[in-house]
Amino acid sequence: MTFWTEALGASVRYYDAGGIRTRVLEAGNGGPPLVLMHGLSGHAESFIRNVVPLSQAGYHVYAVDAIGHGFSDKPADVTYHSPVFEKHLIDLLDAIGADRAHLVGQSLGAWTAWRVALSHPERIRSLTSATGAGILLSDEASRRQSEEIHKKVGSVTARALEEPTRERVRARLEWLMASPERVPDELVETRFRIFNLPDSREVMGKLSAEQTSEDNRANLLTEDDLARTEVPVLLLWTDKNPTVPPTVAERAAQIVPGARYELIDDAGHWPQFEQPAEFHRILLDFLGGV
Amino acid sequence: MSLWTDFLGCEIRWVDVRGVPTRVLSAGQGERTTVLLHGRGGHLESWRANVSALAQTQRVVAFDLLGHGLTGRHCGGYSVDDLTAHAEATLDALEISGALLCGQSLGGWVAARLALRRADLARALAMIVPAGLQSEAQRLADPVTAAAYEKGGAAFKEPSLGAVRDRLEGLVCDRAAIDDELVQTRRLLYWSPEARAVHRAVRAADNNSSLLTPEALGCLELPALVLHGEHANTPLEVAQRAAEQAGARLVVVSDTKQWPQLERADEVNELLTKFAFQPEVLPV
Repeated sequence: MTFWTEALGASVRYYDAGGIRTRVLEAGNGGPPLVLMHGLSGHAESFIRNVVPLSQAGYHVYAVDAIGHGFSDKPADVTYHSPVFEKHLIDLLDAIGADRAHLVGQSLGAWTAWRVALSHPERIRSLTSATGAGILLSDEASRRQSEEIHKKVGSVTARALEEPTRERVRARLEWLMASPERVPDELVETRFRIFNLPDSREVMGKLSAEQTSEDNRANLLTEDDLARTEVPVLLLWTDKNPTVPPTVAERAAQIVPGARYELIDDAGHWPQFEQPAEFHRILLDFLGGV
Repeated sequence: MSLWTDFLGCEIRWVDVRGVPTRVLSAGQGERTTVLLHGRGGHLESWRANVSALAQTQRVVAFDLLGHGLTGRHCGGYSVDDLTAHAEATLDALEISGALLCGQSLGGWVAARLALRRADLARALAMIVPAGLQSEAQRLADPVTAAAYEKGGAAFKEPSLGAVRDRLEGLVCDRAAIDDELVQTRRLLYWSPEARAVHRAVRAADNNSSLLTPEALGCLELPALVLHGEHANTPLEVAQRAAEQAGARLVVVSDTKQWPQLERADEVNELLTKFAFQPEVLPV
């Protein structure tokens, strides 16, 4: 299967989300809205294997290019801290007419989705953090680990963005997955083209530096934030995640009221892409019980 | 390099055209629009090598004809008139007029009928190895065409990988132009019995009143271009006569058969772009 054949039947739409032209991979027939949010320097193709299958399970699925990413607008005059991503997500929910949506965020997408779930719980039916970023546990060791991960993601991403050759793009993608053979050429090509769009060259370096900066750490999710989360939560992790280890997610699941924790084996940072069948099974089971 | 990257960034959506959900792909912007219409048994993926290039300088729209690709079916027939009516309604729904209408094979036939029916829709007409220049009987009297018809038709009965690949390879001179992904995609699109029934109905339709006769071609009053594949099934003389009658420039694209837009994409894209911008000045 290729991206095109896996997404046959899905639409590629452009919505105006608060003035930000936003690309969305969309499939479904008016079922409950399910919004999929990719990670830092990512794009909707993160979820190319999931859009059609999840729509066949009855959801109306939207895989979104976040602000500053993919084929969405990339304003140069904003500071890419969490509030900018949160506003874009809320504006997108308005644009698609979703009163209450299920959110699935991967990495940065999960951080953004979680903050929106805290500020606008009435708009969110459930929240899934798939190898999510943004969780800051209180103990000293976790704080240090969080800083290291934040810096690591920043530097690995910067390397690909500052000189977006196919080799560097492939290296960035291979870092994500449990094994390098999982990175198809067309994923490299897709990301290579996106990174080389004129507005990407202008903005994405700044975006990555700002998103991974010290200043943005003020927007991390503290244990207090976890404890006051009202919406149903699934923490969906992997055994080979190159960023946040499963122990952090397990601990978070204990703090968040009623949260569910699941581990997918033999996957890295992209469980939805590396183990789609298992990802769908767990996600649909969670959504069905919400 | 893959269909996804060929169409990267394009908008893909379904438009309700008189109750028929119609798959429409669009890209690019600008005052000029080029509409691309695929051929028999085809689908908009036929234009994989053209959309992105043309979208550099103009708006490009490609859609699946009635009953083809991922466009829905209707309760009526699948004659060229039926396909043309749906195409006309699609352009109206998209608010497109004054476009360069460009079609391959059956799509070329539909483009010409559109231009005849609705002069407002078309500013110029490009026909790539157009169908409709001969009656079905005349066409199949040629043994080469008859053989291609037989072989290509197997996929309409039973869409095995082999039959689908055979059909696609019959369209090109160099089999390497047809990759596994294109075969896989077409097979998926031919999978349902209903889809294949449409293709058989298209074949069986009586289109005698819609043929691009000398009289019909003579009524075309807009700049026109005919692209003929050097090794196309249609004899060169037939294409030449049609071009003369239509007042069209004829360009023979070397080393191609039915699908010059794929096999010599750069050349065809350049021709179409020049023609789109200066249809009065036909390429020399």
